[in-house]
Amino acid sequence: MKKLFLNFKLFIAIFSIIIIFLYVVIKSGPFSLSEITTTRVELKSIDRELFGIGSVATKHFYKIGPTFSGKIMDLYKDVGDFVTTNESIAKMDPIDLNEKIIAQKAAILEAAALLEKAKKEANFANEQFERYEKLFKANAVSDEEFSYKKNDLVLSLASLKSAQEYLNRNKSELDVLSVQKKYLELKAPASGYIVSRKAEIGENVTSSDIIFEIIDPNDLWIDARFDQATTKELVRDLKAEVLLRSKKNSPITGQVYRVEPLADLITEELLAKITFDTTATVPPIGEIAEVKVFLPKTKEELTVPSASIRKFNEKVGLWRVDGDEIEFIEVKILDSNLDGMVQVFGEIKQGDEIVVYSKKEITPQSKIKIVKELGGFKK
Amino acid sequence: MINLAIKDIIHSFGKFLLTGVGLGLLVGITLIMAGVYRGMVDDGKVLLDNSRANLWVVQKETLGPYAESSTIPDDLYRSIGVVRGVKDVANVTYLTMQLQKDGKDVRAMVAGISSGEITQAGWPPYLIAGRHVAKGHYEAVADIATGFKIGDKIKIRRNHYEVVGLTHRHVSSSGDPIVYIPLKDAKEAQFLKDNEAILMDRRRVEANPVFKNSAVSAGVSSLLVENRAVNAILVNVEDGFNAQEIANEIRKWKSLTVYDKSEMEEILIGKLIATSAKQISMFLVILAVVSATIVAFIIYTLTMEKAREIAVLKLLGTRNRTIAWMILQQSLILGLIGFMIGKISAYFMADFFPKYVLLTNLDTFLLFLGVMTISIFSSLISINLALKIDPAEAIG
Repeated sequence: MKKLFLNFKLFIAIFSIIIIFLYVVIKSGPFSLSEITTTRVELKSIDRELFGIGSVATKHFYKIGPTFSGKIMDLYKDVGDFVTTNESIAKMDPIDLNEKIIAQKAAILEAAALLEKAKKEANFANEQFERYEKLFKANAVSDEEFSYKKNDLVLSLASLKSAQEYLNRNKSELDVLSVQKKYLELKAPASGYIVSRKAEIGENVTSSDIIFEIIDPNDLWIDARFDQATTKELVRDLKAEVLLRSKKNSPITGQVYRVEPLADLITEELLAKITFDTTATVPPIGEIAEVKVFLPKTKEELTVPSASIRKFNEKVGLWRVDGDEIEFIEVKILDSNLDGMVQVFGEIKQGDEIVVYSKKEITPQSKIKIVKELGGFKK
Repeated sequence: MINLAIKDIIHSFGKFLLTGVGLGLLVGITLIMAGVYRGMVDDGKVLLDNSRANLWVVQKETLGPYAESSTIPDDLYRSIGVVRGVKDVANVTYLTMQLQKDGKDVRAMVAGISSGEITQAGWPPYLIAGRHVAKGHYEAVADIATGFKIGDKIKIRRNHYEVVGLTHRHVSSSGDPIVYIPLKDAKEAQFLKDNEAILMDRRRVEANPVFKNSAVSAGVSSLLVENRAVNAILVNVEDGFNAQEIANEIRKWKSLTVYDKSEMEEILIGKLIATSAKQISMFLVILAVVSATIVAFIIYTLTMEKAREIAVLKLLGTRNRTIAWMILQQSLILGLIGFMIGKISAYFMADFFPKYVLLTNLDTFLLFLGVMTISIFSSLISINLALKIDPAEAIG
């Protein structure tokens, strides 16, 4: 026996194996602890935002085309050009319109001459009627002769009326041709940028075709979509922030212009229009944008991080820490924000210590060890 | 009589300890092997636990969504939600893909979680840092095994997702870490083609004489890039309702396949890893045989070395039982040292394995019994040999 204790080497080897073995058993066995981090329940209000995505669109899309079918004679502008209201942007080929106007003017002169002739004839018929009327009263002519002269007068007055209207018609037809000539010039209905040019010089277009599309940069908005499940209190005039996909680091401020009365049934989204406060630069129509709408602050309520909200036995709640013990407290979620803060209502009070993070699901039997933060082990 | 065995061990201590370490490493590997199997089973179980569903509704006659691909329309959840006894329903998508992390590939399963409450089925049940996904787009919660940290950007298809939260042990059934992103983005990612493919599709549609009207062809083109499908619907059952009855109801009226948790476990563990489990059990058998041989061999050598001493003992009139007990003791001590070193080495080795190794107390206990049994049986040959030694050898 003496020799056994003297054998120091053996003792050290066996002792260290046993010590390490016991350490391993304690660390991995049923005595292991669940590491958790905790925080205190706070009583405060939270900033809330709604998040949606959308694309750059415009309130008005001016589509300019000819009023009648014809051939394009000239296009003065191209895509990207800025045009002002009433500026000429294209011209249609008049073809034989000018010749038609000359013919029409001649037709007016002809009608005027015919009118003159009718006037003279009416005057003469009137004189004859007056003379025969006197003779008829003096019984110098027969009743039949007097009736003829009376009828001549009526007919010549009708011819006069006809000649007058003939002249009017020809004048109006000249007006029609003049208006048509005026519309050969296509003019911009509003100031803005030309965003597309859909026909070229020499092309034949019909009255339903579009030659230019114009947008007004002050008319731009975001056609935004918000998930129905998370969208509440989305109303007009709320402040918003837009992040264009091409400019992720420079948000543009704006506001909710309109919440569409029709929601999207298929994508389960609400639609809204967000206008910009300033439109210094014109983003391309159709560019994707992220939209954040700022809702009014909430009332002061018990506030906890979203990571502390857990489910246990199919109930929603959080784990309250009391010394070494933990207890599940059922709570109702009132509100939440994009920073991961949640307002709750339940049997907890301000200052209560609650579990935030854990490496596994917690049960009332879990033996806990509070740590500052959970390490990044691979497993 | 104990000092006979221990004295002998002290006598050839170096050799005995080295053999113990060798055997220990072998035992450690056996334990790790069992741990690998348990890890695979656990991967499947945590996937099911973390999804927090009572029922999985999938495409008819598929083993989806984990073991087979399953595609169902994304608006079907509305009609499942009105089935009596259904508490919550949530669409979910799963897509295994390679993510880029600092120029290296990380294999991960991207799970699409439907918007709504944090405690909804499909959402990660607990975090180890950060917060849950709060925006409906472009945010992600990643498992720490992906190597991503809070604030990192993950590129999935053409979009970048900011990591806002981290999880621990959230893995797919094949052990790939999970990255949670909003469902709308996940649906898009699942079927989103690269831009060239989209442009080519558009041109094909435009060139198709069937679509003379450009408005129709634009509509068809947009349909081509749209995805209105999910992989499964996760269902939570109301208290007091039988999950199987609800499952039958859905099977009967909705023409879908429904699994409850035990059926899903059977698919993941019984079907998915069945071959791997057999493979591992073969290894376990081989390792047990090798361990037994080593223990038998070393005890045999030790006995052979002291044949003369045993003969002397016999000559002195020592009983056979005492000699046999000494050899058995040596064998058991060797087994015990092997077991302890095995347990220690397995504990420290497990962290270095790329996949999850789960060392359970049950396995450790079973292994202890196994090692001891092997030690007892291995010593039988040596005991047999020792008993046959002729006392005359002591003088001869």
